[in-house]
Amino acid sequence: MKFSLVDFNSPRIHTLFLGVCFLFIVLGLSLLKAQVFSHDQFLKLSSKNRIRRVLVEAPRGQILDRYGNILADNRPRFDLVLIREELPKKKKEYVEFLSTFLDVTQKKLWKTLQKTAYLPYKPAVLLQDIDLNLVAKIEERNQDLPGVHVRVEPSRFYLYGEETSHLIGAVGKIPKKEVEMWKERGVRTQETIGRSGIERILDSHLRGKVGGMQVQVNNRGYLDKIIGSRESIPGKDLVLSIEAPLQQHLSEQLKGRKGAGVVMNVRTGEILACVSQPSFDSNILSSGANRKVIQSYFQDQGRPLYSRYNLGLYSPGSLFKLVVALAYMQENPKTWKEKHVFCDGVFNLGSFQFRCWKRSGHGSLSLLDSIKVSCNLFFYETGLELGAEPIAEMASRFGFGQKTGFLLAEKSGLVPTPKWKKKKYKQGWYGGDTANFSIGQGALLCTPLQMAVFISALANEGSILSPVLVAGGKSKEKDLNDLRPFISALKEGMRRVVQDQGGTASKAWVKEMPAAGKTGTVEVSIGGGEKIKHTWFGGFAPFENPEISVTILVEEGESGGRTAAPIAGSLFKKYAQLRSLI
Amino acid sequence: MFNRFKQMDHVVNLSVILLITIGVLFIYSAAFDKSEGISKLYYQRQLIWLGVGMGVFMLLFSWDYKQLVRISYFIYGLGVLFLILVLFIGSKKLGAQRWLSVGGFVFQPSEFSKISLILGLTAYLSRFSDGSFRFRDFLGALILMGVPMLLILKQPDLGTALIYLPIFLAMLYTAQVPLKYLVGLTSLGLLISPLFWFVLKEYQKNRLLVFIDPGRDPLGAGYNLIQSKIAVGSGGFWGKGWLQGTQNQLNFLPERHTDFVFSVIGEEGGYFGSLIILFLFFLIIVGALNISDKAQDLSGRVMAAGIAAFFMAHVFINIGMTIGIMPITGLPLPFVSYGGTSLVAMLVAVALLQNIYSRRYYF
Repeated sequence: MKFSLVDFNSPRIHTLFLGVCFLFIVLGLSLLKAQVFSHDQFLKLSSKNRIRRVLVEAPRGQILDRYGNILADNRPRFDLVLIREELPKKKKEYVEFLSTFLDVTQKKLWKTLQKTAYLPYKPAVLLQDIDLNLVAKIEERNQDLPGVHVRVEPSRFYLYGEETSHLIGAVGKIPKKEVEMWKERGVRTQETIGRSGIERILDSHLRGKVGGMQVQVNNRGYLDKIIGSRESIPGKDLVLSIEAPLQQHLSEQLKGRKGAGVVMNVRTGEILACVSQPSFDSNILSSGANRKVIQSYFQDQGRPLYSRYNLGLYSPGSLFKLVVALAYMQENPKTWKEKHVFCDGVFNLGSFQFRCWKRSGHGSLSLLDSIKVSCNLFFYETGLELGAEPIAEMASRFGFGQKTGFLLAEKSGLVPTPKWKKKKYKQGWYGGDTANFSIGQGALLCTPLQMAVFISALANEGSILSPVLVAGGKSKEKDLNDLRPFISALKEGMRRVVQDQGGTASKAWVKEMPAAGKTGTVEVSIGGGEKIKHTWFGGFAPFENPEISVTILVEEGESGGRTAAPIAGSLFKKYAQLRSLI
Repeated sequence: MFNRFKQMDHVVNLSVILLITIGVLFIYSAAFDKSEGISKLYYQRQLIWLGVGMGVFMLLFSWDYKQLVRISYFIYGLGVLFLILVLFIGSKKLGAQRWLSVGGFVFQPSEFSKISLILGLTAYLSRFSDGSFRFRDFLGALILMGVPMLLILKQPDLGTALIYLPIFLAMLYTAQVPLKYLVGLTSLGLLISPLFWFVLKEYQKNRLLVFIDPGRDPLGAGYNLIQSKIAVGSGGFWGKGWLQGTQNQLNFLPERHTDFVFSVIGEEGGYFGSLIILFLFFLIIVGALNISDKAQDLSGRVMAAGIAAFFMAHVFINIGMTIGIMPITGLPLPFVSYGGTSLVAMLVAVALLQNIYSRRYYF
């Protein structure tokens, strides 16, 4: 058992011994460096190897209409994914086969595979939201399709697709430029968020709280065990004031046109329907799979992504005559009934000539009759008599030029005044400006939504109600009690517009819901001497004891009476039908 | 006979037994299937091979090595023959032709050839006990090594070819061959080594390239090295514990019951475990040098020196590759890695050592 380390007789063996010692010291020190000095770094790498965070998204809350019809729901979506490492060795032939089997270009297949070239066993999405036939076809031939898998993902489903799109909006992944903003709200980068509409504005209500799992995986990325997990908390449901059948009907009525419509409860301020056309499909925008269609949304001349009822600015045209009339009545509370103007078709203002829309003239008209036939001449004269300021003040009292308090984004529009003109253009305010202003043209701009609020305020005789979208929401109310008698009188004029022989909106008349209202037709130059007409109708029904107001705007229409009024009429009818069912 | 047992170097024997025990434990861990809660049968097979190895050990121990040296050329020739056979009827694995199948048993001639080369060189060198070693004789020795080396490179098996060189140098050095030949050969080898680049296979080139820069192909050739380094480094001082290594148990480590078994030990046993392994090998190799020093004749002396170099080269290259200081080659860690032929070859080497040592006083 005697063993002495350095007791070698041969010098050459002693040299070999020294060599051996050297090699062991090299190994010992190298291991010391790796295992002791670099331990932390390697331990981190080994954790990174095996620990993955898996996000479990919370189901988003449903969005319902006032009667419980589902507008937005969740459904499983099937994605076709490829796992590069599971593909057979002869990749080229296999890709050729897949290309014909799945009807996908080889280029797309290679591109998809390339995405995960450095992420072993990570699935790469080839096709999103495939239909059930393809799912069945793939499952049937499972054995012949190594590396091809169908993955189930939660996804948003909008039952009324195009009909509620501007209102409800769409969901999606967080865009790059918003990553920081969502991070501050505690939303993870991989989460699905509301990208537009109600989905975005009330995102925190609908989204719920993501759950997560910390899992240990093996070298293939397959689950080994769950280290820790937290349940996701589902988002809360949301009930809107919308009436789905009415919304659907309005959307159908406007389909094929460029325009907008708002149906509002004149007692509560609730929005029963709001539509902008042309429209887009929230489902397509949310899934993001159909790039071609999404591309077309962005390029279409009709701008389907643009919501016209809250963001579109239009001249109110003849509808604004109601404001001018109220301004005149307030200035002349005793005498306005006696006011008569003789319309011969031409109005001279200095060297300028302004024409009534009826070339032959209307003859002698009272205020209420001039509302009925929408005589321009009456309002040129009345407006010039009043001056711009009282008209602008009356317009502001009804909310023009201000935001209505709508839940979604909105434009405030513009009520011009001499002061405004001086500031903006460094020019004086001329009689011609007042004349244009008096018939709702010129610089004056409003949204269809503002118009709806105005019409509703006439219907309820003086209460300006902010629009309400969420069921049970309280409208902010502003009462114009001093105007009550004038509004009440003016409504008679509006009744004649719809119900009397020769009224401009006789096409809005339906016997189930006798309405009152006002039409508008605005000529707009689109350059090159060409002109188009934006056509309006704003009204309410039933005339006695009004329930709803309907505001319709159609771009490039014929006239308010012929284009917008019939649409309103069909809505009144639809509303009456729906009421009779209850 | 019993007397000669007492004459063995017991420190070497004890170290070998401990290493084999540790080896079986970590082969068990490396092949452990978490979901089933049991280990694949490699550790049992290793134990069967241990039995075979013990038998061979007894046979070779009892047979005087001086008689063995007389038939050493025959054994050497057998080794060369196997290497030729493997080129023709060998089975392929991982792109290299290294295995011979005989009646269900898989046999790796390159392991046997390491021992047969040591024996061949012993027989050759023992003729020059009078110190009359000339350049002509040096060339003879070179051919003796060169023939199996070329056959091995043909397989190709870079690792084994790398083992031949230190064995050759250590044996000639101990045989008092003039230094100028050895220095000359080493210098020449270093000079022409860049030329070898052109005869290397693609995967061998890759292995050398990732040795220099593991990041160049992290999921291909560099994967093994990166995962092995992570395993060893994450072990820390005390290790993650037996069966607790995540790199091991979650399959991140490749070849972990064979060539990379040290990575498992490094991860689960930590620096502490690594030092135990190093210490045991140190005892064996220094023991071999001591046996060489005390051998009764030149043949025993050079044989023991060759065996010392044989162990040293394996240990350094194998452990070195797990932490990236040596390129990756398919060399086992003696006594520890799973592999029947290797274990038997290692035990043969120990038997030869003890044979020499136990006969050191007999004339």
